Amino acid sequence: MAGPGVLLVLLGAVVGIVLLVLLVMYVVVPLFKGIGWLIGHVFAFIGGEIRDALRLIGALVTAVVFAFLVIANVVIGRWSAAAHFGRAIQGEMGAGGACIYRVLVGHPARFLCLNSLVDGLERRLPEVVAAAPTADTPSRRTGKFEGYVIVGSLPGGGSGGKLYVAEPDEIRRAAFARQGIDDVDQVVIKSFSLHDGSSLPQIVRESRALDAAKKLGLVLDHELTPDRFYYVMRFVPGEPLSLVTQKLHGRAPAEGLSNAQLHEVLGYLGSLLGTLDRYHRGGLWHKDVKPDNIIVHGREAHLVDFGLLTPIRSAMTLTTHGTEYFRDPELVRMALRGVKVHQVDGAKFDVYAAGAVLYAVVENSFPAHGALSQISRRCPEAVRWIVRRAMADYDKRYPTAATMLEDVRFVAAAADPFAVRPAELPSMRGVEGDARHAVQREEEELVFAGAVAASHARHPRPDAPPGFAPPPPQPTPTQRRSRPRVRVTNWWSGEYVVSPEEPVRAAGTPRPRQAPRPARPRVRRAPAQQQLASARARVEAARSRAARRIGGRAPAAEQARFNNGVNPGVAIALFLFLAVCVAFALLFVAPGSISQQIQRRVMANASGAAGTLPIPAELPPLPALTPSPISNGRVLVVSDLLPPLDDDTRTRLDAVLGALGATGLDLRGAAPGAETDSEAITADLDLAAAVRLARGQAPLDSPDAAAAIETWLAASPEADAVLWLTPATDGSRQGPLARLFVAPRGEDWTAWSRSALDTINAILTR
Amino acid sequence: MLSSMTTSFIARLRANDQAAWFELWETFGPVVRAQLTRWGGGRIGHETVRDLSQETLAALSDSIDRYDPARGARFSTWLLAIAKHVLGDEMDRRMAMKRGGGRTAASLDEAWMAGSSAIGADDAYEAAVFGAKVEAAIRQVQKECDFTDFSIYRMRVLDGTSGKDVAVAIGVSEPTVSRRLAKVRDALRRRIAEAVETYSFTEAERAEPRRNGLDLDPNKADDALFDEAVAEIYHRQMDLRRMDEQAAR
Repeated sequence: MAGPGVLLVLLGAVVGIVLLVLLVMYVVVPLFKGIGWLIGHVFAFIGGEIRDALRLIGALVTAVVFAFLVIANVVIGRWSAAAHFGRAIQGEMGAGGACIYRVLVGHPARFLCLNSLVDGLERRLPEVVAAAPTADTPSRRTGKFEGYVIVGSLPGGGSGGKLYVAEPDEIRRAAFARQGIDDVDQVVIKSFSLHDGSSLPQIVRESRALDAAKKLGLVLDHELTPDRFYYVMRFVPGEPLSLVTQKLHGRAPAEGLSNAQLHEVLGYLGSLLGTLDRYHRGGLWHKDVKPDNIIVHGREAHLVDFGLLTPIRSAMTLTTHGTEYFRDPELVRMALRGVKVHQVDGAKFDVYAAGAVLYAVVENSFPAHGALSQISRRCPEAVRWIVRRAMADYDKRYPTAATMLEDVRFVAAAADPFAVRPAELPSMRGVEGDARHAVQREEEELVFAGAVAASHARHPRPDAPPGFAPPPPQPTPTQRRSRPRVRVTNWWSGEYVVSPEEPVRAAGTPRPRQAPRPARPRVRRAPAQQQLASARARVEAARSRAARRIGGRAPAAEQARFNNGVNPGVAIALFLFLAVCVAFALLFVAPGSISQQIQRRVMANASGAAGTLPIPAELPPLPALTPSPISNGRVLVVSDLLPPLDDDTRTRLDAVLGALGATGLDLRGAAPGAETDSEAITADLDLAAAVRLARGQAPLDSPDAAAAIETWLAASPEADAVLWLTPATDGSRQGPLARLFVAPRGEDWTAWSRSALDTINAILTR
Repeated sequence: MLSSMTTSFIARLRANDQAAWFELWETFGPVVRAQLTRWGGGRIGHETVRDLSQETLAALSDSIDRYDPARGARFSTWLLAIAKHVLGDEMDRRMAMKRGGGRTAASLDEAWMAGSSAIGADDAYEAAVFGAKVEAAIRQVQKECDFTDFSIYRMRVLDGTSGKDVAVAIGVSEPTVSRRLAKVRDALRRRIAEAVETYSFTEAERAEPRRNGLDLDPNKADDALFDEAVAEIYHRQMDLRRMDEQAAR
């Protein structure tokens, strides 16, 4: 019988141990983990609060120190150093502001597990703020852009230029029309100014790209001066592809883009590759293809920012300019080896960047691993293949953008992109040559005039597949366009009429290789006299414009080339300094009214209750003054005591004035022994001067003086009594002597003044 | 004792061969950045980390002439010590700026030549350095192999696609897939051996492939294990790069 019992006990023990272990594993351990997490959470919160509070204090202290340095440098005329310290103050204030935010919002929100809430404030908000456009109008030092009205601004890129949206005036529009560029409603002006922080190398680089951009008709206008360079492009509305990508992934399922979104993305890439192919066939290499430089409007993607545009056949040495992750590392290696541009196929680097863009859009991330980057989100195998092929080694990638475009088109045209195998792609089937030629033939019919598809961005065609719609007809040399003909009706007044007739060939547009040269139109010429007059008028107008430009810019050019002007940090420092000065003056310099002075002095001593004498501790207790029978009576204090006063006299005077103030009287005039040059008591000094004038040369203790003063008091509504303090005139007493003259305000007032005078002189007598 | 490849590479660096320096930057830049970020502990921003990692290589350029192979330091330690020196220099500079003074010149600590324990290298760092060598080898193979061959290897090994699916996707037979895989694998073995030789100063470093499941002898190797080890290292390096990229955003 013992056997089964022992067995049961053993079994029970085993079960108990197992249960205990399970209890420990699944209850106790998680519980302790939870407690540990909670404790850690609390300590993280407290630690964060303390850390940021200390950082805030440190930032404030540092800012104050910097403020003194700013002031010191301003005083000694070191403006650059002052600006430097001003920027440091800006940094400290920014750090302090961030600390305040974290102390008040960030840490408490995290403590309450509201991480998602603060993520928006801490990540998205700064990103959006950083990407905000600059000032809507160029600074005064930058100057205006003649012929354009600035209507807004765009966020600047990494090139250092400022971007303004502008509308050309009628004259400029007419000039564009003469060049064969129509429908220019708004333009983007990219401006580089030495006054706005642009550097000379940036200006040189951008102006170098200008020649290339002009070939494609991307630049409408430009101007180069010793301190400024700008060029004008068409305005392409829309959002950058990087932002569109974020929005797409925000709406997409967690595993990646949906089929419809993939279709949309492939459409954008189709637009991009079509544009790149036209660039390359135009002999140019964009060199900075990235999502931020691709503007999506409607169903089209437009490539912008040609600051790095380079002729493929250029004899210059390769440079490493570009954007990391979208720039082929092989380009950097070649540049380091000193390879010339014409020795490589620059188009292939744009193809690499296009592959990187496709990766970034599908993956919502940068291809940080270069050609080895792996797409981890939902993506057709054929698209992965296209990305790999585009980002493959220089010799193995797509030879042209057109070849890649064929593959992208093939996948996008498929009903189910996931069903497309890489082996089915045109480039794998060996049809790329034919396809490329087909694309070329198709594109040959189109000419690159004006900005890249900007006009059809305004009129998207919804019935066309995204990205694969052939660009709308651009103005070409083969097309006959009507130029408005101006007919002068009155030569004296300058009146004229515009009649749309006379088709002419556009100037400055490239001529298609196979297009037949149009017959030169017959232009009806004006009489020689009229032509001469018109030419003179144009020359005169051009001269006056040039004179205005030169006259307007001359002072600016003579200004300092190095921008060391006042920055917000300097302004903050100066403001703080002024605030401290004003506070110091209010506290220590400006004496204010005598009542305030006495109040300050009396409060410094141990003041008593109303009606009792606030006598300093060293003086014997004295009888208190009875309250004044006149409410708000005004006593003008006039002192003949010569400063400096000894401590005892000063103490007794304070006691007297304090006692008078405590009876409800308003004391006016300068406090004996105080500085008397403050504007605050100018009116009281005028009163004192008036009473002195009224007294004249009569001795103060004479009846004439008393009569004169009382007469003055009777006539003056600004004082009810005059307390005249004089030095003792004989050796019988020590300390000043007080005399009190009162206006006729009734018997009570006169009686009170006599008793008050006795008390006052008792206090003043040692 | 340094191998001839290491000596040759150091000679290129000493000769200020820009391509060699870029190669070093490309290969070990992410590792140095990750280590500097870890050391910085949030006190230094990503941009500063990038600057410091470049300064690390610049300091490497200055110190390479003083390299003494007889002291027996590892390549990874060498790299780490320079990074630490640059970081310490940056911290000194910041402190000096806070005190209102100029930049204080810190002397380059040559203690790295003695060994790695004092520098603070840990297993994660050593694994990252080794991973960077394997990644460099993969890149090299990608350059020299046919695009389709490497794509097959990539799909099969790095992406984990089955051989049959790879064959269907590429439009070739499965034996062809196996044959091309073997071709790329052999090339990868050679390149890993070269990379390890080039970027290793000690015998312990040269033995790292075997310890990490990468047997470089094709006659004795287990191909599946080799592929698995390569894939694991590849994904680890990709995570490292992804963190680097996220920090940059």
